[in-house]
Formats: sequence, structure tokens, C-alpha cells
Amino acid sequence: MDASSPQHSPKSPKFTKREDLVLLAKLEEANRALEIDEKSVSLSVPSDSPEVKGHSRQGSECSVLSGNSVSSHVSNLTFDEEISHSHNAAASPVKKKAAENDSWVQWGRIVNDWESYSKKKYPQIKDLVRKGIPHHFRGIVWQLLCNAHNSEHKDKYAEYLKTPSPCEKMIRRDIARTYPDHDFFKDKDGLGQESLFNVMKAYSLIDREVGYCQGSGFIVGLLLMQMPEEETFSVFAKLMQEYKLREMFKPSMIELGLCMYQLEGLIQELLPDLSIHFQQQGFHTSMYASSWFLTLFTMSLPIAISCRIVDLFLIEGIEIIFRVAIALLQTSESELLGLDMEGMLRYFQKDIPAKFEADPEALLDVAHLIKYSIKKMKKLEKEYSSVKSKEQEEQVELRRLRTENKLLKQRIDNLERENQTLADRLIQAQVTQATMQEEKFALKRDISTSKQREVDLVGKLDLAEKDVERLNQRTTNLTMAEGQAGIMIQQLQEEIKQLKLQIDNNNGAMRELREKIREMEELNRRLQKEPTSEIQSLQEELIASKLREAEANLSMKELKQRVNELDQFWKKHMEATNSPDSKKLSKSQMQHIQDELMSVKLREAQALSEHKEMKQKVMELETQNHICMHQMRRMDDEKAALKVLIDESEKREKECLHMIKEMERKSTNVSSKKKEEDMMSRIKDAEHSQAIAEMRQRIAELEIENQELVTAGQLKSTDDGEDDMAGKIADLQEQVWDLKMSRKMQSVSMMRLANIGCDSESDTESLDATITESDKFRSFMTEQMNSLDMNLDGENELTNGIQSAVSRDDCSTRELITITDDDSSKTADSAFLGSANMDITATNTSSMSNFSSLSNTPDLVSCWSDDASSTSSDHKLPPPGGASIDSKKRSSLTQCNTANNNYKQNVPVTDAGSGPSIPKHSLGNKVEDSNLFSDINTGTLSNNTQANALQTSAHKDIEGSRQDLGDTKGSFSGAEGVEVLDQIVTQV
Amino acid sequence: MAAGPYNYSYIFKYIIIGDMGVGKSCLLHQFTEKKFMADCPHTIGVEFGTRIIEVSGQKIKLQIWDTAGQERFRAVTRSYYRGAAGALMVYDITRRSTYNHLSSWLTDARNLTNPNTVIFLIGNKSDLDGQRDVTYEEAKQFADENGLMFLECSAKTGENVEDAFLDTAKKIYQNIQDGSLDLNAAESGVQHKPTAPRNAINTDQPAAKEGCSC
Repeated sequence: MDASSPQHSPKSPKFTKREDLVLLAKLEEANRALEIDEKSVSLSVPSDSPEVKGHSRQGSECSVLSGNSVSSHVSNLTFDEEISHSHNAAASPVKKKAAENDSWVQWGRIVNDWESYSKKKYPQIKDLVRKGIPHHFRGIVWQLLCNAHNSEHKDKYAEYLKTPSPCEKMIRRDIARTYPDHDFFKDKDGLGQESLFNVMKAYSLIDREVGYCQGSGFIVGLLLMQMPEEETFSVFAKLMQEYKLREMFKPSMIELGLCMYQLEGLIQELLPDLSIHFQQQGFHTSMYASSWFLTLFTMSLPIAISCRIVDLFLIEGIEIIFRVAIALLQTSESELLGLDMEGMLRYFQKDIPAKFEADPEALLDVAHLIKYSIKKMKKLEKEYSSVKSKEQEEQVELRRLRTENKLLKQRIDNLERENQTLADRLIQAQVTQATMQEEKFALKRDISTSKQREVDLVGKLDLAEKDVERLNQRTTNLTMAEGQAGIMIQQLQEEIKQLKLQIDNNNGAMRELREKIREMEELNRRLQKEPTSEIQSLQEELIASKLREAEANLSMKELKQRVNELDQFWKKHMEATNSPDSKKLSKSQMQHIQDELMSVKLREAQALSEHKEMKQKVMELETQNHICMHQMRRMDDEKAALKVLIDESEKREKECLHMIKEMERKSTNVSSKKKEEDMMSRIKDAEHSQAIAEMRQRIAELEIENQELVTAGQLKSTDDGEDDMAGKIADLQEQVWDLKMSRKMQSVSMMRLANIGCDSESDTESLDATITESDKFRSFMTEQMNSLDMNLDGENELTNGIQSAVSRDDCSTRELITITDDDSSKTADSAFLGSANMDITATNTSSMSNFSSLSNTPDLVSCWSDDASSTSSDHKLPPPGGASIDSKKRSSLTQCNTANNNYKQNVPVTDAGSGPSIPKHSLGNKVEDSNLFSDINTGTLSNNTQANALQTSAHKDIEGSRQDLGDTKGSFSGAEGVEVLDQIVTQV
Repeated sequence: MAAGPYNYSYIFKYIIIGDMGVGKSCLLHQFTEKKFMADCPHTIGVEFGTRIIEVSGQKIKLQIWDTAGQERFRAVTRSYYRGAAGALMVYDITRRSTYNHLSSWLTDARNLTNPNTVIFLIGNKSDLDGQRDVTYEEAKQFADENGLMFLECSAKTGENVEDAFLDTAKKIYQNIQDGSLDLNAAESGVQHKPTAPRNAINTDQPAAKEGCSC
């Protein structure tokens, strides 16, 4: 009982009386019984309870409630309480009653004075809600919890009812399919369905993005079971907008996916066995849990539990859904592990609602014990968003690659087209080339034919010339024949004349003969008349004449024949010479021949001209041929260029592809890098923030310290001698520092002595002595310091001298003797330097003399090692030669000490920055010496290299000495620090 | 035939898709329970039902996923397409809009299932012939154009409901027989003899009768 509550209801005094308490307890019990009844059995709707209202009105006169009720609902409910109070007769245990009373009274008070309670006692309310809101308070408490009682949407509800919504059809379709088994929503066009529709429609109007989403109807239905539609609307709007349910119902439903992912993560963490089983069975979270989140379990669990879950949801938000989900799985784990996917689905559909119907609190108790880490949820959310973004990126990438691919394909197409055109052009070029070649060939053939013709013509010409010649010959022959013919004609004419003369002669003879005959005949006649003897003689004479006559006839005949022959021959000749007037003919013939000749000549000229023309033509053809050749060559060139172009374009294409690939790779690399960097930067951020936090803490601490110090300072400020003391302390610290240094030196020298093999006892003695002498050494140190500075100057001069010696050396390189003189002088110089630096002149000079004596010997190594040792001794290392003076412990000790002092002096000098010049100078001398030496021994190459080697070894030694220096310094500060401090303290 | 402890030799995975209110859940209920559920609550996410049928003497278990129809639930239901051997695409013959949306459903079905998935077009509510808004011929043509099997059914009267589910199974079985459906393929949607032993064989039968009851 919260008696301390300032908002004490006027009821409270009433309950102080025991009888009243008992009575009230009875009433509560009854109410509770009623409530359970209502929830589980018939789910009779509390909001649609005009009956109850009526009752309350009846019992209003006995109300003890203060008048300032938040709403009529509250008063109604309290009236209910009163009614039950008056009517109840059932008895129950007092304790339980008291608890019930408490709850009712508290809720009554809370509801009546919500404003102040919600501000001041929110955790208390939270606890109460966890225990469960009493059924009758539920409607109003829900409104109060989500601050819906003064929502602006409520006022506009009537307006929304009148406005049409684009989702109306969809909503209408699902109205009958929401809580189809529930009495309130059973009747088609009943009150339940109508108000459900109204609320859904009204919401679709105020949230256009979400509009209507399947599943939300179940939540509205549950709300409608508790309160009237106007209030339902405002509560639902609050749930959607302020409890982020609308994120889940948005068209993309990303939030639901996230919840699934988170739940999966939780199962994996809290119920690993089940998670593995689910994975094995391919049982995805969304198969069973989608409706859990979308309907806040109203669809999957009995309404009584749903109401309790909504109670908690209003207080705890979505967390409770996860809790209940895990609780459900946890309590059913053993059953689920034995089922396959179908079995599990059936289990979720059938068995789960039945399992928790009886005892809703058990589930909620389990739910409250679930380990729910907001951090883990955030992590899961991040993971999910990264997974989603990755998916989206991938999709984007995929889309990008697709478009790129498309573009590349296009480009390839373009290139192919180009290629095609180029190929076409190539083919065309080839074709033209072929045609050209053909032409060329044809031209060649033409040329060859024309050449042939030319040759033929030349042949013909020759023939013609021959003809002409022959004709000329013939004409000459003919003229000759003509002349012969004239001679023959003359001969024949003479013959003819002779023959004519013969004929005349013959004719004369014949006349004579005829005369003779007549004479004879006359003689005969006379003889006949005269005697026969005479006749006979006459006859004989006759016969003889007759014979002569025959002979003349014969010769006549022969002559005639000859004449005929001649005639014939003539005729023949005439015929041969074409005519008797052959001269004329021959002339004409000549003329004719000449004509012919002329014509032949003309023809020849023509042929020549033709020949020339042909030649010209040939020339032309050749030039054409040349041109063709050129063209062809150009074509070839073009072709080659085109090929090259094609190759280039292909290359470019390849390169492009390559580049694209590379770019892709790069982009992926870059994106991965970016992600990594993101991650790194986030981690760094976190680290930084942590560091900052730490720093802040430290600052705070420091400030506190500072504060403390300031106050301490203020307290001590009265102490005047503090400053003096501090100065003193500083001085003392310095002194102690010096002491410490000297002590260090001593320890070092001790060490060295030990190394040398000295007697340890005498060593310690000497050390003690040196410790006591440390103050003296200090003063000596300063002196030494000064002398060192002096030496430094002298050394510089010496280096100059050495340099001049080097120059001198250069001048007289050939004269070895002088060089050696120089060298020896230099050795003396360096010896002087060594003596200036410390009291190891003897060793140094000996080493130097060794050096000079060995300078011309091939055994340079030993010489240089000596030299190196001397260099190291320059650097305050224990001289190896010190072993020889182990008998004089004391003196060596002092030497060492001085050396140490020098060293000590060198330390601050080195620190000051001018220090390195000292060793460097001495080193420089040595180096120069060695250089000189090597110069001298240029003749022997091996010597030179050895010298170099030695030089480097010398360097190394120097380095080693420096390191030693550092070591001693370090050990000094470390080991002696405490002692020094103690000393300071004691001195103070 | 029934091998080992199982009384079926194949499992075919089905998915039922379509606009909200076309009767997907009622079809499933009619098929699994053989009765019409007038007031079936609307589906949130996915529902599930099974029934064992016989094709060519082989006992086949149909594992049917019934999806929420509202557009925004596709984000959730898309993951159920994968590995479906049969897809029943449902529209309401009395509402043209549900028919008009088929192409979008078909795109989803084609994109998210394997090429061998048998897609069966169902024009539901054939009992309401008086309110018909989409003709049989039109839908048949659409089905032919897209290579879909097609029937008009009524979840209310049960007309053709069995046939639609059985014809799909026959087609899938035929695909298996002629080798076009590779059983070993990861997302064939067909399991030859279930791999996980069931702890209770007799749960199969009653299970098939339970189906979609919420």
C-alpha cells in the first residue's frame, strides 16, 4: 500500500476499516474471475458494453470516486468496481484480495491523475503494467500509455469517416477475414466489422504511404475489443507512428526483414540448438514469425495473451515482441527439436496457441527473463543494414554491369559493323585491284598484241621492201630483156630480109627453071620431033631438074618453117612482151611499177606512222600500266593501313575491355578498401572517443591534483626559504650529478683494470682513493676541458698543417723520401695531438712510430690495427697498451681517471653539439694520414685496398668507442641515480 | 512406391500466388481439406499445407506454400518461389484487375523459379459465373501465349480444384520421366524420397487433413 503517495485517493481512508477491506477484496476477486472469464472464454467485448454502462449509471449514487475523472471511461470503470463491490458475495483469501485491491486502487489513482503519475512515477507504472493491467482499465490505460487521449487525430476522426480512401476496396476485402471466429467481428456488416473498416480507412487516409497493410487489421481488431472506434483510431495511429509499427507496414517492409534478421540473431545466440535445427530443416524465421511482428501476436496467440503483450508493448515497445518470441521458442524447444519443417509449422499453427491459452503469465514470466541486449540488437540492425546495403550495392552493381555490358555489346556491335564496312571496303579494294589487274593484264595483252602486230607490220614492211626491190630488179631485167628483144628483132628482121632475098632468088631460079622447062619442053617437043637419043638425054635432064626442083622445094619448105618458127617466136616474144608495142607497155609497166612502188612507199610511210602510233599507244599503255601499278600499290598501302587500323581498333577494344576489367577490379578494391577504411575509421573513432574519455578523466584527475597542489602551494607559500632551498637542491643535484659522473668513471676504470688483470683488492683501494679525490678531479676536469678546447684549436691548426703537408705531398709524390719525412712529421703531429688529448702519448707515439716504420712494409694490417687502436685510445677507450703498465696501477688509474674525466668532459660537449668535432678531428687526421699513406703506396694496389679496409675498421672502432661512451652514460644514469638521490636527500 | 518408412516417394513443392482476395488460401483449404472455408483469415506472410496424391501409381506428397497477396508482401514471399516445382497463379474471374496483374505475377514466377517449374493458371470463383468479368477464352489465350496450363475452378464448390493440383503434379512427374527436370538440381522443387526421417509416420495422414486452418 502506498500510503506515502501524495495523490491519495479519497477512497483510502475507507479501506482502513477491516470490514471494508474484506468486502473490497471479495469484489476484486469476483472481478478478476469475471475478467479471466471474459478473456478466455467468449472474449466478450468490454468496450461494447452498454450494459456495463447502464449498471454504472445505476450504481452512480454509491460512487466514492472523486469528480475529476479523466474521462467517462474511467468513471465507468470505477463504477463497475463499485457495482461489483456491492454485488459480489464470493469469498477468497485475504492476501490475494489485498493485492488485487492494491492494483485496482493504484490503477484508479493513476488513471485519475495520469499527468502527474506519468511524470513522477513512471517506473511504478511500468511495474504495474508488467503485472498486468486490469481488464477494465485496459482501454483507458492503453490510451494513456501511448498518449492517445489528447491526440489530434481523434478530433478529425469524424471528418476522416466521410472522406473516401483509395484503399477502401482492399480494406473491405479483408474486413470479413479479420478475426472471423470472433463474435464481435463475425456478423457481416455488423458493428465490429463496420468499426474495423472505419478505423482502417481513417488510418489509410492519415498515412498515405502505408495506406492499408494486411495484418494491421488484427491489431485494430484487438483495440476495438477494448475501446470504441474513435479511441481505437487514435491509439492505432499512435502505435503506428510512435511505436514505429508503420515502418513494418511500409510497402518495402524493410523493418520486418530487419526484425526477422534480429530474431534470427537472437535465436542463434540464445537457442543455438534450435537455430541449428531450423537451419537443417530449412525452416526460415519468416515462415512463422512474420505474423508475430506484424500483428503483435494477435493472430498467433489467444486474445488474452495478446492483450497482455499489447500492455507491455505500450511500455516496452518492440522489445517485448522479441522477448515473447524467444520465450515461445524456448518453452517449445524440446518439442520443436523433434519435428521436421512441416511438423514445426503445424506446431506453431496449432499447438502454440493452445499451449499458452491456459496460463498466459507463464509465457510472460519467461519472456521477462530472456536476456535481451539492446547493444546486440543494434549490432544486428547494423549487420542487417550492411547486408541489405550490400545486397542493394550488389544489385546496383549488377545493374551497372548489365548496362555496361549492354554498352560494351553495343560497342562491339559498332566495331563489328565498322569491321564489316572495313572488310567490305577491303573486299571492294581487292575487287578493284583484281579488276585493275585484269585491266592491266588486258592492257598487257593489248600491248603484246600490238607489239606482235608491230612485228608483223615490220615483217610486212620488209616484205614490201623486198617486193619493191624485186620489182625494181624485174624492171631492170625487163629493160634488159627489152634491149635483147630489139637486137633479136633486128636480127630477125635482117633474117627476114635475107629470107626475102632468098625467096626472090628462088623465085628468079624458079623462073629460070620454068624457062628452062619451057625450053626443055620446047626442046623435048623438038626432040620428039627430032630423034629419041636426044629425047633420052632430054629426059634424063628432066629427071635431074625434077630432082633439083624437089630439093629446092624442100629447102623452101624448111625456110618457110623457119620463118614460121621465127614468126612464132616473135609472136611469142610479143606475147612475152605483152604486145608488139612492148616498149609502150614496158613504159606503162614501169609507170605502173613505179606507181606501185609509190603506193608501197606510201603504205610503208603509213605503216611507219602506224608503227609510230602504235609505239605511242604502247607508251600510253605503259604509262597507264604504271599508273595502274601505282594505284594498285596505293591500294595495297591503303589495305595495309586499313588492316593496321582494324588491328588497332581490335587492340583498343581489348584494351578497353582490359581497362574496364581493371576499373571494375579497382572499383571493387576501392569499395572494399573504402569499407575497410570505414570500418577502421569507425573503430578509430571509437578508440578516439575512448581515448578522449580517458584523457578527460585524466584531465579531471590532473585538475584535481592541480587543485590539490595549488592548495598545498598556498599552504606552503608562507615558507620563504623554499626558493633558496630549491636552488640549493638544484646545486646539490648538480654536484651529485658530477660526483656520480666521476664515480661512474671510476667504476668504468675499475672494470677496465679488472679486464687488464689487476689485483682486485688494490683496485678497490685505488677506486676508494679516486672517489675521495673526485672533487679534485672535478676542478681538474674543468681545466682539462679548457685544455681540450685549446687542443681543439691546436688540432685545427694541425689539420691545416696536415692539409698543407698533403698539398706538399701532392707536389712531391715521386720523392718518396720527402714524403716519408712528411709522413713522419705528420706522425709527430698526430702524436702531439694524442698527447694533447690525454696522457697516453707514449702508446700513441709508439703506435705512430710503428705506423711510420711499417708504412713502407707490406704488412699494413698490423700497422693499421695499431693505428686503429691508437684512434680508439683517442676516444678514451682503455689503451691496449695499458697492459704494459699494469705494474704502475696507481698511475694507470690516474690516467684512466683523467681519461674518464676527459671523456666526461666530452660528454656534455657532445651533448652541446660541438663535441663531435674533437673525435672527428682526430679521426680526420687519421683518415687523412691513411689517405696520404694510401697515396704514397699507390704503387701497391693491395696495400691501398688494405688501407681502405683498415680505415673502415678504424671507423668501426670509433663507432664502438662511441657506443661504449653511450653505454657508460646509460649505466651511469641508471645505476647511480638512486645513490645520487639519496645523497641529495641527505644533503638537503 | 512407398519406400522405407515413407508412404510417398516424391515431394513436390508448390507455391500459390495471385492478388489479394482471389481465393488462394481457400483453394489450398479446399484441396487439402476438401471443404470450403468461407471466412478464412487473410494470410500474413505465408501459410502451408500438404496432401499426398497419386500419379501413375507413385505416391507424391505436395508441399504447398500459400502466400500473402498484397503487393508489399512480395518482399517476404519472393523467397518462397525458389525451388518450387509448381506455381499456381490464381486470379478472380469476377475481378478484372486480378487478371490484369497476372503478367506481373508471371514475371516474378519466371524470374524466381527455375525454367522447368510448371506454372498453372487458375481462374477462381467459377461458381460466380453471373459476375464474370474475364472470359474463359481470353484467359485461355493468355495461358496458351505464355505456355501455361489453365483451368477455371471454384474453391467454393470444389470444381476443378483437384484437377488443377493433380494436373500440375502430372506435368511435373512427366518432366521427371522424360528427364527434362533434373532431380539432382538444387532448386528443382522435387525431392525423391525425403531425406530427413520423420519421427512419426502416422502424423502424415492427419497432417494432410489439417492443412490451412488458422
